[in-house]
Amino acid sequence: MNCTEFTRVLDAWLKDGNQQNFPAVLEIHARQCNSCSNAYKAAVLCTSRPWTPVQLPKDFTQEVMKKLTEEKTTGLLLENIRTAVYRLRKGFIPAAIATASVIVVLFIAGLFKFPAEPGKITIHLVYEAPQAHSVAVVGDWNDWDPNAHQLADPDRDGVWEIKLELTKNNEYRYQFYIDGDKWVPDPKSNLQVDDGFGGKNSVLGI
Amino acid sequence: MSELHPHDEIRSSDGHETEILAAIHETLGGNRNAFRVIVDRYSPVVHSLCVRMLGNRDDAREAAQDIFIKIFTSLHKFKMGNKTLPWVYTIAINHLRTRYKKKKNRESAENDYKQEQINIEQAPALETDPALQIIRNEEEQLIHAALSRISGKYREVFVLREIENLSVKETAVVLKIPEGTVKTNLFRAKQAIIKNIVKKVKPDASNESI
Repeated sequence: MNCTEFTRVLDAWLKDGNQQNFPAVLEIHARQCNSCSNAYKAAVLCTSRPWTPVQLPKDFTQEVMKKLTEEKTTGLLLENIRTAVYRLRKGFIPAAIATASVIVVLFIAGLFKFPAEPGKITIHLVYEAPQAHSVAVVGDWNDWDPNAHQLADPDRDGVWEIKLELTKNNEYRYQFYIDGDKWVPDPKSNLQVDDGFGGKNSVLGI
Repeated sequence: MSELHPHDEIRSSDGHETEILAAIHETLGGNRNAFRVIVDRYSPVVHSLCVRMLGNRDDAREAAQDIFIKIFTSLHKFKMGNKTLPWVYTIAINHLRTRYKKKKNRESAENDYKQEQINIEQAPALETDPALQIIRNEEEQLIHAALSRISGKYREVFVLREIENLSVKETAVVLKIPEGTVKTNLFRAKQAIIKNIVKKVKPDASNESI
């Protein structure tokens, strides 16, 4: 076996999901070839299981529960909404009224917009997603925080919108964050770049 | 090769799944303390994932705590009938991605999950011989160091599939990619890790321990 053949057999073995037995021919060649022996050892390393377990920090659960009680603003708000939605599902009328009130308040707030400050520009982002339950926009301007800028669809036509005031003369990267678990670039953006996770970031230059 | 994975018990028990579903119901009903059952059950896997992805114990601890806060505030989105563990993993992966997207201005996309120093404290539980465990730890550190230098999407699939021992199907569900892509990315991840290790290991340390 030569080095080319070694690489071919190793790649074929790595591609095979059922990695029970390392092909003996690889070991035989690796024993005789300095340049392939390290690749052989590395391949054995990265396919050996199981890994040594990681030690869980002491009192981890306690710390999480403490952190939960310390979440006095956003956390509590989210908990209230969560509970309201749950009760709504269960058929509680007061919860339905509370949820409707929140929607009305948000809608009214959306009607009153101050003009953009000097040096800033108002951007209107639109995303069409009739099946979505929530759409947020995450990007350089909000530190990629999914809770910072939620799009709204008050008329329930499946078109989600938001107006943002951004500083001029900047280039921003952003994505839409759908239902809290799906990242998508803005289909209307002219420029998209790799996000390093197999997806794309939209690029906005203003 | 066929040893039991430390997290297998968490994955396979239907009894525990019922217990978790009951805890979700109770928490949603207003009993915040019931959430403790969920944290107790899934903290080993969530914390382990964070350590593997971040390579730093302090960051991992904080990230794992934040993930449980996220799980708490997302409980109402859980669809009854689905398995809870893939859902937990999905939230965790999304949180870890968000965490690193925040650093995007300072680092290039290719260096997501980059870590300056690998320092993972592990529980020496798999080898009965301490000397063998030291070797094992050193080998795992070598992989972790290589992991920190490969692309985020390859790192995710390697950690979930090879280290956390999720099936191809589970990995596909968590990452929301086709099973074929899981296999392809896993193959590329292994190629990249091997290439990284070979680059780091000096040529004169070659044959003696094969």
